[in-house]
Amino acid sequence: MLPLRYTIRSVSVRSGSALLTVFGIALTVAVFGGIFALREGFASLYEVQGADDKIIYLRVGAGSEGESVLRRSDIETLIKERPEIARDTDGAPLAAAEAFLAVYMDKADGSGRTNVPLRGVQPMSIRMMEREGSVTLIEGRWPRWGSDEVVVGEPLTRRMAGCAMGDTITLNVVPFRVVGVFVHDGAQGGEVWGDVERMMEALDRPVFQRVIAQIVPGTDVPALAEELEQDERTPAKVQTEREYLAAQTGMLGTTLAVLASFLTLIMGASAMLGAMNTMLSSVAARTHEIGVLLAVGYGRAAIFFAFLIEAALLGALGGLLGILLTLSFNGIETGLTNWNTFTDVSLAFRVTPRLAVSSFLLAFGLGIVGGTLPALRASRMQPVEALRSL
Amino acid sequence: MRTPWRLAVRHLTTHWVRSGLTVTAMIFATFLLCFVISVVTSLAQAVDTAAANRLVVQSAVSLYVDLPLDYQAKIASIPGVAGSTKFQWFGGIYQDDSNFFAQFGVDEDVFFDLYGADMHLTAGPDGELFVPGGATGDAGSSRQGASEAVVQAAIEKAMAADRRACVIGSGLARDFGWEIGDTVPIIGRIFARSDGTPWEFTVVGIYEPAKSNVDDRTLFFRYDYLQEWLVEEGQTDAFGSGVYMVNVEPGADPAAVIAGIDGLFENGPQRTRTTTEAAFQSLFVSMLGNVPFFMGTIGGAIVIAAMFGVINTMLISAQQRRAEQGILKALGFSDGIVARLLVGEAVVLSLLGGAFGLLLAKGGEEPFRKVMGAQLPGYAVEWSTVALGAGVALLVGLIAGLGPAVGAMRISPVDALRSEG
Repeated sequence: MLPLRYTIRSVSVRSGSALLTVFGIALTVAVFGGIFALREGFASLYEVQGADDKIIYLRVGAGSEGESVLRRSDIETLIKERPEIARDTDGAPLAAAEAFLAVYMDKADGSGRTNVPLRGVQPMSIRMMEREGSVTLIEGRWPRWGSDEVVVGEPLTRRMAGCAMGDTITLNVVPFRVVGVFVHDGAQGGEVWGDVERMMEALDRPVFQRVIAQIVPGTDVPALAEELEQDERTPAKVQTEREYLAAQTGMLGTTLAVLASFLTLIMGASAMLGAMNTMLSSVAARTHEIGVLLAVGYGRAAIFFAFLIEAALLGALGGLLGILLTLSFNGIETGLTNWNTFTDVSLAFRVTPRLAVSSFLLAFGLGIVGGTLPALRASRMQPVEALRSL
Repeated sequence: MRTPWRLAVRHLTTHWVRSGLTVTAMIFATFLLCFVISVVTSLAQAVDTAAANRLVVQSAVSLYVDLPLDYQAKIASIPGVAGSTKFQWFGGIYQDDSNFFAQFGVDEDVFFDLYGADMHLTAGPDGELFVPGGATGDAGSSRQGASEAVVQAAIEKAMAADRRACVIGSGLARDFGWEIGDTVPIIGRIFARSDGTPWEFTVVGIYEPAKSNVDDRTLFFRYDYLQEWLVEEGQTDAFGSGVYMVNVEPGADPAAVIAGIDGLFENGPQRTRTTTEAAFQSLFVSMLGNVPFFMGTIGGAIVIAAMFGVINTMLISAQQRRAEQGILKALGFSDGIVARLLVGEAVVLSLLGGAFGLLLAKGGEEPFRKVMGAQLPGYAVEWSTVALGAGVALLVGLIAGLGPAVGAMRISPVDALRSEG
């Protein structure tokens, strides 16, 4: 086995070429890491969040809240009569009927309008979230029930115009005042909430979109879903909150993954060719040296691995640099439209440890794959011929 | 002294592995660059081709709020309005979510007046026309080559005769194999039938977009079919249209018409926000958020990575050629010529790769449209994008050749001759 020092020396001799290869690999890793960091940020809002002990009732056949319509009589029957809904110590059902509408808002950066989710909530909506600790009010107060007041998700105060404390959001012809700012650690973090009754009146839209409820422990949700689908009086589509949120990520999540894979595949192939080029030149320039090594008794395997390790080193350096690049946009906040709900989602790039590891492995792999052929070429040289070359 | 270009060619062909690797890397880079730019331009391009005389009336509050049906007559009373049609998003699914495409309920009696110029109506591949209540294509051959006006008149008649009639885009006909006379089952989501059965529409015509902002994967059906069902289901409160498309009379001022319409509904029950079709479509681009910026960043990363690759090759190439450069200089070739050789070599490599990459991008336009038509309707690689790609390839070659070239100019012939290579 050749000492590792030999490999490191050899990389530093051709530092210019090695550095360019490392940069090429690093950029590939950064693009891969960047898009997946966006996907991770999106997934952390939807896939990871969502409780299994909360269920959502929608109209049969609706794919999302936006498509669902529940009448007042429906929601009253559901909340009052469904046996699977848990109750608090006072015997009140832990369930809330909510209205949902994507409304136009102007972006703060002046780049046009977008769809922001507006949710009409009931006192129990907020109580349930406070119970599970998913929501925190960081400024102001909750809206007074029965008045034209709203609270906004924290990212909206920065990303949308007219969404700060004290501002007024006009729905149709009714002005609603922003009286509080909340942080929600799930998909609802970028929403506007207000009294459902006031909102329905302002919007002239007397229907609800969903009922969300805490369920009695041990409820068989799949069986319940099947039963309610066929229910004579109030047929409804039932899913756990987790299932519901997971179903809302399909299009954007898949698009990001496909885009990242496609770009990585092609950029990766390109970076690998660069690594191969560098290694081939490294082998060619050291032909004489390889002859000497073979002559003094180093085995072919030792030579093969010396060059392969050199390539792997390039890959590893590229990987580390790439991860550093990716980390530089970790936490940066941005907005994307979730194509399942067609509403704006406030999210941040998230570089997870798992993503860092897979980025590194990708870079390492690019180095190895690019280095195999040159290393093979080096190890197959005839000592006499190699010595002859200068 | 003339530049010995043959030397450069010999270098490229002798080290064909290296040249090949570099050219391949450039192919990938140029292709990807064109792809990301095209994604952005395709998204934006719909806006440029929108009809100037068409206005979109929608709720000022939300894309999802329907406007009452009586708004249509009120809109018609505004001076300068030539005609209007409902445009109700149906949001149904064919078999599976992944087959997503748009369906709109429209007023079939005015729809073709408004949209006739945006689409070429075809009577099916065999020239067959739908005959209400009878077999299709019975007069097929004689109708072949029928003028568009005749085809449109026949399709309008068929639409009028069957309340379940629909017109589909050529993209849908291609992707799902639908033909004239077929019954198309669509599962309602917003308008879900209580018995869970799909809606059924009969294809009476196929259109080919005449403008690039018209999607070839849309189904237009009769609004009154939807309305009839809402009555049956007792959902008369769901009457409405998300959007009214309004044509402005020739010579009328669109701005005045917009002000007239929005003024009419200033105090509710639903405030409206009337825009030109272009502004309406740019809304969807604005909803994409930072996507164009992301794409731009990625494009930049790709170009820089590709440039590193070519620079790398040229560095290696120059390194191995020190001795030769010494000989050239010793023979009296000027520094300029030695440098020119290196730059020329780099430019040939990157332009060669660039040319193939551009060919791939332009040639891949059609297949890509077929695969991703639902996500990215109207994907097109503009010629300006191709020109940009070529410019970038040239620039990459120049920059990549310049570094080693400067090095080669500086080195003294004696030092160069002494170096191994």
